[in-house]
Amino acid sequence: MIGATIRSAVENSIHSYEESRLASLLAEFDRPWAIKFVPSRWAAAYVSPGRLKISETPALTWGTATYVTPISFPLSSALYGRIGLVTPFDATGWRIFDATQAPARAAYVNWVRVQPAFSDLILTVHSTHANHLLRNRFREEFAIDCVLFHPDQEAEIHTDRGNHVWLAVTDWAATRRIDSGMSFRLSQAKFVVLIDEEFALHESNGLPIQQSPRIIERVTETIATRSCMEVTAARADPTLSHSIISHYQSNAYLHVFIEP
Amino acid sequence: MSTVLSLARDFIERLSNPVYGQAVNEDYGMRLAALLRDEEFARQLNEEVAQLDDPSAFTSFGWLWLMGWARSKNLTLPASLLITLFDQSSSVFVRSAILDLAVDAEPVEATNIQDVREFPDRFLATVMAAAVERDGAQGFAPGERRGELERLERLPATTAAEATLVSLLQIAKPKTLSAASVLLRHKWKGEAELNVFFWTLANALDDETRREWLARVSAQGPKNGL
Repeated sequence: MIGATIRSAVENSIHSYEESRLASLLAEFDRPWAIKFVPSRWAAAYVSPGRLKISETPALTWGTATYVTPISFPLSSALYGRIGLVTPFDATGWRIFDATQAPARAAYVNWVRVQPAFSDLILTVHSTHANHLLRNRFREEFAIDCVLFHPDQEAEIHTDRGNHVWLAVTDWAATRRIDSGMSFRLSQAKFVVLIDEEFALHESNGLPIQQSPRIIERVTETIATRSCMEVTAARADPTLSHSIISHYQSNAYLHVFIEP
Repeated sequence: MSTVLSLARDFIERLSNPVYGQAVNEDYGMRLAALLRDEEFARQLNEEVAQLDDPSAFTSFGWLWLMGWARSKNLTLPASLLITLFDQSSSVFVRSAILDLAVDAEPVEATNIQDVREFPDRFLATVMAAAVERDGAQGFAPGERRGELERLERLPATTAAEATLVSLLQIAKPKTLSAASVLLRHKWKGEAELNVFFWTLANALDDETRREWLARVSAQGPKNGL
């Protein structure tokens, strides 16, 4: 129930994958690749290729979707965990809504404004769920396979909110409804990257963080003397205790690492 | 509640309730997904979801997630449960999610129906009847002119009917739009106020969108005295 002008503004912001910014971002690779960082407890689940989880939680930028980053920005989503899961995908014929562009964002906002429930979106306490449902409805109404957007959370140094692009990929269930569960479109994900860094996801007041500082590197870069030791060697090293005390006494730190 | 659903309930609450924060939501989403890789677990969960009858089994966040799950997996929930949940919720968006799950995409002929209770879809007839019956008790005669305070006190409370109307419009399936038309012409004490509410919404739209609404929903013009 929307007017032709609003509808065509949205349609004008939807491009086929082949004509989209996403295709240009991935042009240098043999095929489209994506990466997603997750908490380390999920590493074991992705030693062999597996399907990524479709995120269904309400506080996500574009609704129920699988959130990934094009491989062109390999560390951009490190905020979300230490394990980088990498998967190829086939985007042939996808309808891409490019919300990195201001006209596309304006088209979405104008679509929201004429929704019957718009008043309830802005006048009630239900806005988180309201936005979630409206974003899903928008993507279903326009059969959007993928939304491109600039990150709205940033891992210090790793994420560039102005230039990086993230993806919300839709899986479709029967009758063109957005699917939930595990993604069939991003289904060959493997544990490929392990990063020695962690980030906080929330401010101390509990709100989602906007820019998260590096927790480890910010400290290590202030310590002039460092050394490292491979973890199996460290476990077997009878002098490890003495070495640690020595690091303490010389204001150094010891990085016990997993051999790649 | 069965063992499978009891187990899943905690996961569903933690993955769906924003109070736990995005990290916990996502983590429990992954945990539930890991459980659902077991086909037998998934089959049993889907079976038990389809038999749910206790509206207190989940919080509204849990129900919203569950309705989204049911929608994507083409599961149905018992109509009596959905009617209770619809009646209990004050959120237009929860109501919309319920309608989306409960109402199919088929059109219905309702041009000559004037009473919501006669609407051919029993689910929609029930929720519309509840909306007009609950709030229409305190009426006032059209054109009645008394002190403003007294008049305000005697205005029928149309809150539930307004929320129902918005949900019907928001889902915008052929059947819910027909239902919206019937709700707007149903004779009750809040009829005039509900129509004014509709026109207030419609008049805030751009011309093209308003024409689109009016082409799909038959509504009377606003009545005088309001």
